[in-house]
Order: sequence, then structure tokens, then C-alpha cells
Amino acid sequence: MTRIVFLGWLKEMAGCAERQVELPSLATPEELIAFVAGDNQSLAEQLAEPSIRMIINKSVLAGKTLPDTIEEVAFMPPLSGG
Amino acid sequence: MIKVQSDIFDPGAELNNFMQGRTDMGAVVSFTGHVRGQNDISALELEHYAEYTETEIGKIEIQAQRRWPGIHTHIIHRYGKMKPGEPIVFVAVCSAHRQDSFRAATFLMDSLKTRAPFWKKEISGDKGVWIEPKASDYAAEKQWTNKV
Repeated sequence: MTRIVFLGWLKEMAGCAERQVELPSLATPEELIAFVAGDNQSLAEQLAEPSIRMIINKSVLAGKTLPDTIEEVAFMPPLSGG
Repeated sequence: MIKVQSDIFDPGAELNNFMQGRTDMGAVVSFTGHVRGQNDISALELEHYAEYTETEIGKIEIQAQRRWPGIHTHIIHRYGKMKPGEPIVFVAVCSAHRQDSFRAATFLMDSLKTRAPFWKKEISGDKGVWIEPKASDYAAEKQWTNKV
């Protein structure tokens, strides 16, 4: 199972802070977003925004290649700490 | 040292503890960020990405220690709900001479603002508004790129 985490205001758009899913075989970040968003079109559009970073297995995804094993995916909107 | 916690803290006590027993440091600079009670805000709620937060703050701390060798740092960042006037974030840097402490403390705060995985929500009554990062925060952080 893969843990999907929605951070900050994304959790309100997703309707939950996190959920567990069984990921199918996916080749690209776009496919991952499409699977995670399902039929929530506004969430799909938001997750595809360049300002939303994808953190996979606690590392920022750089590039377009997904790791072979995905234990956790977090979607991170722009930060506002400090 | 890095602490990520929900509990309130005493900045004065943290600063005193941080400097306890140090006899080779001639300067210490500290910064404390507090919840600002503006626009009828009753509370501020900070969310973070639990397991990732300390790792990211740790990277910022290591960068500071590489830029200004010999400094010591102490960073506290709270999460959860807090009231106006309460401290949110604390940074202290000590060094042999003052310039490294001033610069490194500013670097740490500028970096925490834009790179530490926290999200702020202002609570007014029963409504909450997520805070967007400011362009000035990014500009402040950018000044440190490739610059010592």
C-alpha cells in the first residue's frame, strides 16, 4: 500500500489529509496525479500546478521518472512557515 | 540543535540554556517570531509534514554551519494551534565575533520561511484562511544564493 498525503490547503480540496491506496503500475508523475485525483477534476488541475511539489518517499521528485517503489507520496503547496 | 514541537516555549530560557557554559563565543544573536494579533485573528494554526520537517530544517542548519564555520545554532519551530502573542519560531546563533551570528541568524530565518514545510492558517471565529507565502520572503531567501 502507498500512503498519499495532502499537505496544507490541499487536504481540504482532497477531502482528507491522507489515505492509503494500492497504486497500479505508473510511468510518469502525470499518471500518478491522474490516479490520485480520480474524478476530482479540480484536484487534478491543482496537483498539476508547477507550484505544487511532489515528495516521493520523503524526497522531492526532480524530473519525470518515478521510483520503482513508492511507499509515500506527499503533495506540497507553497510553504508559509516561520 | 533543532526542536519541532507543539508546546509553547520561553525564548529567554532557551537563549540562556543555549549559551550556558560557552566561554569561547563572543557573540549571540537570537530571533523570535510571534503570532501577530491582526484582523480579529483568534488563533494561528500551523501544519507541517511531520517526518520531513526536521530533515529539511537540518539541511538548512548544515548549510549555515558550512557558510559560517565555528557557529553554533539553536532552532525551534512550533506547530499546532497558538494564540496571538505566543512565540512560533526561535533561532539563536553564537559565534566568536558578531558578524557571523548576525548573518547566519538572518540566513536561517530567511531559509525557514521558504523551505521549512509549514503551512499557516489564520483562525477568526469559526473561519480559517490559509496564508500564502509572500514574494518578499522569496526575495529575502534568494539573496543568499551563491553568496556568503
